[in-house]
Amino acid sequence: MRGARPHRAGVAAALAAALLLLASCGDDGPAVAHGGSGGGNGGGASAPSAAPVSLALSDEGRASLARGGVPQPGGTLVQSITVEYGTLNNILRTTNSEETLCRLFLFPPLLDIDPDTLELVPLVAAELPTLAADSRTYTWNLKPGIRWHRGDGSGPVEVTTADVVYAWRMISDPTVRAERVRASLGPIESVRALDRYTFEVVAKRPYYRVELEFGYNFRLMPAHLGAAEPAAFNDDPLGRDPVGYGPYRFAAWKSGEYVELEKNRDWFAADALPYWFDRYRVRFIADTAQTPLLFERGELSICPVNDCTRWEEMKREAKLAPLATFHEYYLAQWLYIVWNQAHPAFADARVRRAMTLLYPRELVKEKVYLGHAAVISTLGSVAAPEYDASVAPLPFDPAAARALLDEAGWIDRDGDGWRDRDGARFRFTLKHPRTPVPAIAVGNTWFQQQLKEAGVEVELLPVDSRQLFKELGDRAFDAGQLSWVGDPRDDDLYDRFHSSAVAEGANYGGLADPETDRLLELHRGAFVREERLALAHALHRRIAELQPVTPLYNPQSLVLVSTKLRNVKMRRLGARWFDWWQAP
Amino acid sequence: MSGRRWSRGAWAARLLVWVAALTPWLCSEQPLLELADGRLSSPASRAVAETDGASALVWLALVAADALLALRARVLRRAVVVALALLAGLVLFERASLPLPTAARFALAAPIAHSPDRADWELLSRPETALPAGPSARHWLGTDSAGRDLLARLLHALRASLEIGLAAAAIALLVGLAVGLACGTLRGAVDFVLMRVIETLLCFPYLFLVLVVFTFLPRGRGTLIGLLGLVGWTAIARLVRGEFLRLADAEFVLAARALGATRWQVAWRHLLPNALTPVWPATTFAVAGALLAEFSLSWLGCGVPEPAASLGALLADGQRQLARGEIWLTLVPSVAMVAIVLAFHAWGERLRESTTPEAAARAARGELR
Amino acid sequence: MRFLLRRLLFGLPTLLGITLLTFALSRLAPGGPLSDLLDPEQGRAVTKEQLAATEKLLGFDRPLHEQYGAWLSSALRFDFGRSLTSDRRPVAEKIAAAAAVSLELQGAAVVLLYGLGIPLGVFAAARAGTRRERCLAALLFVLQAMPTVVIGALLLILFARGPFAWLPLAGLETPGAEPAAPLARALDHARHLVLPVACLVLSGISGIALYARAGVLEALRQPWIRAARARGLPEWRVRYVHALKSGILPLVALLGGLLPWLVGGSVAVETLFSLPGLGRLTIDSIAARDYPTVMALTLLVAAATWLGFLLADLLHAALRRGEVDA
Repeated sequence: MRGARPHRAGVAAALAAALLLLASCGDDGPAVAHGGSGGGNGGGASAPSAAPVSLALSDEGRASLARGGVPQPGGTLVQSITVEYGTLNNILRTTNSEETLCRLFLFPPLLDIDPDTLELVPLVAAELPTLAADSRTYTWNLKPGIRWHRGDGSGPVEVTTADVVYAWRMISDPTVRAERVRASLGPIESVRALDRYTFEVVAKRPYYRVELEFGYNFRLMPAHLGAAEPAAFNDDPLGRDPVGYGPYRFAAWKSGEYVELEKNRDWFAADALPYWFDRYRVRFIADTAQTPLLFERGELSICPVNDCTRWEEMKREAKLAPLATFHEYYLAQWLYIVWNQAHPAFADARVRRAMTLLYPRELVKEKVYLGHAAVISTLGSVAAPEYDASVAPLPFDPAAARALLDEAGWIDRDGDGWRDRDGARFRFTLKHPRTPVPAIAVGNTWFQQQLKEAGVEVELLPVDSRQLFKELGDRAFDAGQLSWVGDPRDDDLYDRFHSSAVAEGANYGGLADPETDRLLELHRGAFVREERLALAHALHRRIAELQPVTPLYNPQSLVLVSTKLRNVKMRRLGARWFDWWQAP
Repeated sequence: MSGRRWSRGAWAARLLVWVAALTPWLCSEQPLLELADGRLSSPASRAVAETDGASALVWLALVAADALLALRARVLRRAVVVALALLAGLVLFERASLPLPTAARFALAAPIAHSPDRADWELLSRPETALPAGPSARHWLGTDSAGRDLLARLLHALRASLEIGLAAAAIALLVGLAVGLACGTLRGAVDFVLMRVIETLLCFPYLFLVLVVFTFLPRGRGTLIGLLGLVGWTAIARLVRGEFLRLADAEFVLAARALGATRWQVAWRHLLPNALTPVWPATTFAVAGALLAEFSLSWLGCGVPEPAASLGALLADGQRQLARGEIWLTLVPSVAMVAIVLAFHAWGERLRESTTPEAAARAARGELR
Repeated sequence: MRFLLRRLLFGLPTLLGITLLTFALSRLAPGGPLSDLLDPEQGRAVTKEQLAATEKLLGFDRPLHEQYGAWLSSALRFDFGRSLTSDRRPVAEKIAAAAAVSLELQGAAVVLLYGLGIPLGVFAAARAGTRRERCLAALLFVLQAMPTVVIGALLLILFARGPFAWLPLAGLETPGAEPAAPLARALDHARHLVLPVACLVLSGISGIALYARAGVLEALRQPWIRAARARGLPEWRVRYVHALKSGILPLVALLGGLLPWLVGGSVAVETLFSLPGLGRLTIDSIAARDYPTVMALTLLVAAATWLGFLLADLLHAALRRGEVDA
């Protein structure tokens, strides 16, 4: 025994230890600041009134806000994310959190989305680009006088078209690991400098989103500091010591602990986006259960909460009242189940509809989300103008579901309690991320129970996210559960529902519907916002009818903000704090 | 192991095994006996047969064997075995029913009238219900975060976890003994190769193995048992081999050899029984180890698939509630886990203590500690 | 000496086998290192063509035995390549940084485990059978049955608020603290270690204490202890010197078994307390299918485990000889 005992214990300990993980790998933390990749083309739609941004303030919090008064520069704002950044190279970044930090603080894009109106506004560009008559050629002007955080030996260096050309050369080189950026700039054919501040971008074909995609997703890097050759660019030390031109400059990166930025005194857009805090720190906290504890201790300024029960308890807790204000709002993120139409049952829209009718979404909303989610009827945020509120989600109705299943020919013919057709039992596997959010874990077991009572067998199979997306892409699944962060406005569902996106895109279920295709194509070519809205609503109705996916919820973002901060308000893009400041 | 005094730990472990074996009849939504339309049937047994009939039969055989070995009173022994055989019969012939010429209706509910895998829909539909629900007259231990009866889940989890732990330990024991025997007897090249295999397995990061294995094999008890058995056998094999090497020059072995016994005869008749002494306690520890490892796997999402319950899955679920200061869901499975591990550890300790030569000498003198 | 040399030689096939197995398993694992580029939640999903091009760039299209050969030949030169994740740092650098954290953490834990576990075990053995001993044993058994994650979560709840709130919950230093005197920094650092080390010690101490208890109990039963008593030695000397001496010997050998634990880090503790150690690195690398890092880490842990066995065997042999000499 002697030799064996410690080792067994060691194995058990190692396994036990190992376990924990999954919860943290893979998710990159709740989206506080919005990480979407853009939206809007500047058409002049009026702001819709649908944004249900609520602000639940304690009395204490209200009082402290009122004391706010005059903006005070200084202080430090601290946030947390679960997974450390890999690189802060603006072109090589791969995750949402990296993208957000780069875009907001280090390398502002050419065009920004106004967080209140969602309109496109010029930021690094001097004005919106001009589009030539061919609908493909855009001419851009850079603002003069924007300086990189670090110059060359002889003094400060301006952001010019040399940087634009340099960045485009890196992005378009296939040996540079810039797959994500390259993918979003897919519609772009070429970039050419005309003079020091003016350059020309040619799209492959007319497409309303080119302005947005380029303006919002094109990435600059300093040509005077970066590696000249693509081969060296991948390992450029600038990735861990970024030099940008944004409101903050890089200060420190303590591996495994935090990244710290300090205020850039030379920030060119300080009028519109003042950014009062002297320092901004992002801590890497692997265990999301822990962040509220850190917030309570004053170690975090902003803290997302993803457990609704805990959130409600916090709102009632007396000792939190002087510490926190509570914010609840909807972002463009949602959960849904996609049905693979290659499965013998799911090719039939009636069966897919029956599945939706059997999923007790309202019950999950009440008992797990405690009301902090909206049940949706298409892939969209209930706060977005593209979402047609007149299309009600299907109710929970097992009787109607059974009738639909009977109608589709799935009947229990052999009396074994399971429905069958053509001699095959109705069974399927629902793949979901390995550590699902509570709403999914609980909702799925209820769904499973309802299916069993309706005579359908389902296996719930957790898979890790890498595997899931691979299998979805290869269509090696029956049903898959996904969460998705969409664009804050003018989301283009082409990639998810167009028949051409089955082979190459995110139409995992394989929907091939001519009417849907037609609407999506029209939507892509519509340069006027109202037209696009009308098309989006028509598409919404079509999707609700066909149910290629079962849309589940648009969860609310629940965020605690320290009462030390002043002028706190949530925007339609979430916690964008450029005009907040810290109480003296 | 006959003649050895059963320790308290062993009694506790056996009690757990009995509870686990009878769990499907202890808690079930279906009535144990139902008299309707002139027929007497057992819907609970039918439910068992439909879900996991084979494992139920093994469980019943296990406790029947235990009853035969341990119960002294003949009448009692017979009664218990007949009762168990009856249950087994109900599982085997799931549709069996007894025609009774009466119009009376009658149903005998299980002591805990909830199934482990079904949410209490009536409770859920009440607007005031908050999940997880606390203990009440309806749910003695409350419900889990999906509204399923915690006691029913706990008992079924106990059964599933014991099943996994016992079966994994059994596999580890068998493979370990075989390999240990081969190494200790054949020596030379076989020993060399097998020891390298053992070392490779021992040095290999299990987490990695587990993650990859579960992407190919179906999730479920079978895979878990196989995997944990695979992890466990190397320790036992090393142990057996060590004993063989240690005893190789012992006097009784030399004597047997001098009497002309072949290599295998010596190994089987003389070495193996002696080498087993330290193996028994190691096996009980292996059960406990497998339970802890099962928790770890559940954490990873590689445990038994929903809606089945295991202690690891319950604990993983409870641990997610811990952050809210909600300790109940962690406490209940932890206590069960502690109870099992304690019982098996205590049993193992006692076995170890009682196998030292001094203890044997004391036992021979009829002396209690 | 020959024995040692032989064992070292035997180790080579084992290590080679492990790298081969790791290599095969990592390539078999579904979803390669690039499949995160397909995740539409993290930005625009990449097309399959683009993915194939990148795979080619990284050499994943070459036959597997070639890839393994390439890895092996550079590993023999102690070049483990660069990480495939977006940070693209050299693997050796990543591992060294994480190892520093893990070694400190686990090292402190080992010292405490032995420092506290052995006296506890001897105490329990000396008082075997008393009520106090039974309470202690029960407590130890309960600790042994609790997964580390649960112990850690309970610690976090207990120490997050109230009188103990001065203990930090995450990281290894107070972020944003002004550069202070070395002493103050060391103190700050030590404060950060308290909870994680406590968690490790609580989850491991019962093993050591129960082991020491069993060892001492067994030693007390030996005939030579009876002989010592018969010689009229005082009871405390018998118990605490003679019995302890032979009773804890196996514990020293147990140290060998702790080596991989020392090197492998603890995922549970590192996740709960947000520490960038080897355990987290392992898990993250596996999740990211970061082949070079996984291979190097596996090799490291395997080598440590194997060395641990060797050490344990050597200690055993040395101890046995010592016993004979005594």
